[in-house]
Amino acid sequence: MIFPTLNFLLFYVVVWPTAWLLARARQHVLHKLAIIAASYFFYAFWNWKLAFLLFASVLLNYAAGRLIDRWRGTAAGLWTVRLAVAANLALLGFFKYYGWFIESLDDLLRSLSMARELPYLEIVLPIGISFFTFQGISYIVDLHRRDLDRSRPLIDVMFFISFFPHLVAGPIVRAASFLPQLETPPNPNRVFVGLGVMLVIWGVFKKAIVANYLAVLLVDPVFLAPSNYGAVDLLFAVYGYAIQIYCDFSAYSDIAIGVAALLGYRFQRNFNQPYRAESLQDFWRRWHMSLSSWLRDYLYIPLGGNRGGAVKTYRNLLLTMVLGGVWHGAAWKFVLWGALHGGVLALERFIYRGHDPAARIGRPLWTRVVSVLVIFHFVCLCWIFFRAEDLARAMELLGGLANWSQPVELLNLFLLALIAFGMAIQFTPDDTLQRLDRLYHRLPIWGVGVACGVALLLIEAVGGDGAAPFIYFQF
Amino acid sequence: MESLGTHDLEAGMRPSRASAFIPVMAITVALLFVFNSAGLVRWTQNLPPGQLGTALSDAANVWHDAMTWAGPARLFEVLKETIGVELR
Repeated sequence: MIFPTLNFLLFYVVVWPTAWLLARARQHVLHKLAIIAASYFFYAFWNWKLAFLLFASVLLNYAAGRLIDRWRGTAAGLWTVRLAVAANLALLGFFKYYGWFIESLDDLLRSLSMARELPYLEIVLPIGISFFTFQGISYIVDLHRRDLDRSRPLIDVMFFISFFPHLVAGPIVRAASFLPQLETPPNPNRVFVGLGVMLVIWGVFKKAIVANYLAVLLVDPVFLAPSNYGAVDLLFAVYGYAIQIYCDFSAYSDIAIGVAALLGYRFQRNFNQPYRAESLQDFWRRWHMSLSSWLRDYLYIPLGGNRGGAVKTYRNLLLTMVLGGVWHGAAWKFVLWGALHGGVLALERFIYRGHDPAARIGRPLWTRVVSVLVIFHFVCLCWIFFRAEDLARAMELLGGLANWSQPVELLNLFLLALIAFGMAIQFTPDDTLQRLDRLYHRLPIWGVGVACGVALLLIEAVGGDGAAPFIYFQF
Repeated sequence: MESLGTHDLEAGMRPSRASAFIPVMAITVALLFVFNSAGLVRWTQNLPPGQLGTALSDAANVWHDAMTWAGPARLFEVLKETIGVELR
């Protein structure tokens, strides 16, 4: 089930009142059970068999949490943490990298004239496995670090890992920030309805209009056969992809945050106008914030962070970003994408020596504008490797950027307007949501309903039938 | 370490009662079903085959015919085609 569909609307029309009726009746356990049941229905909609995998992940982390509590401060407790993290990663690794591993092994054995029958398996990548695995690890590590004071009952662990708004494409919710919300039923007198409604409508708009049109009319054809197009089409397809992936992924996060807010739960913010970043470090504080902070807290810092001197800091940055790249898939293009980001993050560290290059104090406007342009173009360069089918196709596209003689075939005013819009929303004032919230509270409630209905109808009319899957479903 | 959470999103926002969402949801769903009744028909066509699916499909068709006769569904289709021709 994906968000901007009638399936999800009908699902939510049932789930939302049920959840609040139970919360108002102080039936907290039933409230949680109802949301868990809804989450498993939401997940089983794709493939009911994989719901057992989700449940297995919950059981693994719940059991490990109990043991960590029992053996806290002992070697057994520490080994439980290690084994639980390893088991989570093994689960993720098996589904994500088994096919690649067997293929690579087969190639290696053939090249050594030692070919043999290898256990090839048809493995379906369970949707959302990365996200629920990361949340499981967050539960284990937060418990171990005492960011979470104690292990939680099975029902809470199930709720935390399976909660449908974040289940398949994040935001990656932290155990320490989410589980305390399950101590008491959500307060029906204190719900951010305005925020939730605005984020949902905004998310549907970004996905159904901006991301979909850019993908269908520009990005997909260009990345399929870059050599068929000239430099202008290629260049704007790269810009278009930068906007498409932002509008696609941030749309999912916005809808997830909005849907959860309407049920009385808080998620962390996941995007904050990333293309206005003035340094790469700044970009990663604004892009997929729940993943970048997860990588920082559960990978970069355990690797040593910046505690072992300059060289080790650069190594840790590079390693973290390469692993972040490989997380997206077993392909050299993702390794290169991660290495480029890690390399430039390390370079920034080297040049600025710990000083935040995005600090605005005393910087003339023109240097900030240049910084934004440089960082945006570097991120776009990396997106080429990320989006291309493989490295050869990426190089083909890069080579084609020199071909200025070929006429423009795909780019038109509408696509230019979408790209310009996607860039303009990076620079709206920080308090835009608050202003819209004030407007929401000035409107009569029926007016809000009419505005939402009209907005969704217009999106449907402009966006057309059907909804393409979100990009991050594949990760 | 910077704090996580939607506190920054919620800062300066006014919370409401959960019940404020009921009319919003009701009006939104009603508008979608009245104007985009064709979408409802398409949705029922993708349901798994069975008695319930057939009954829902029949009901959706009756509803769509009524909305086309009354005007909103026709209006929405005209809007959709006009915009679609311009953009696609």
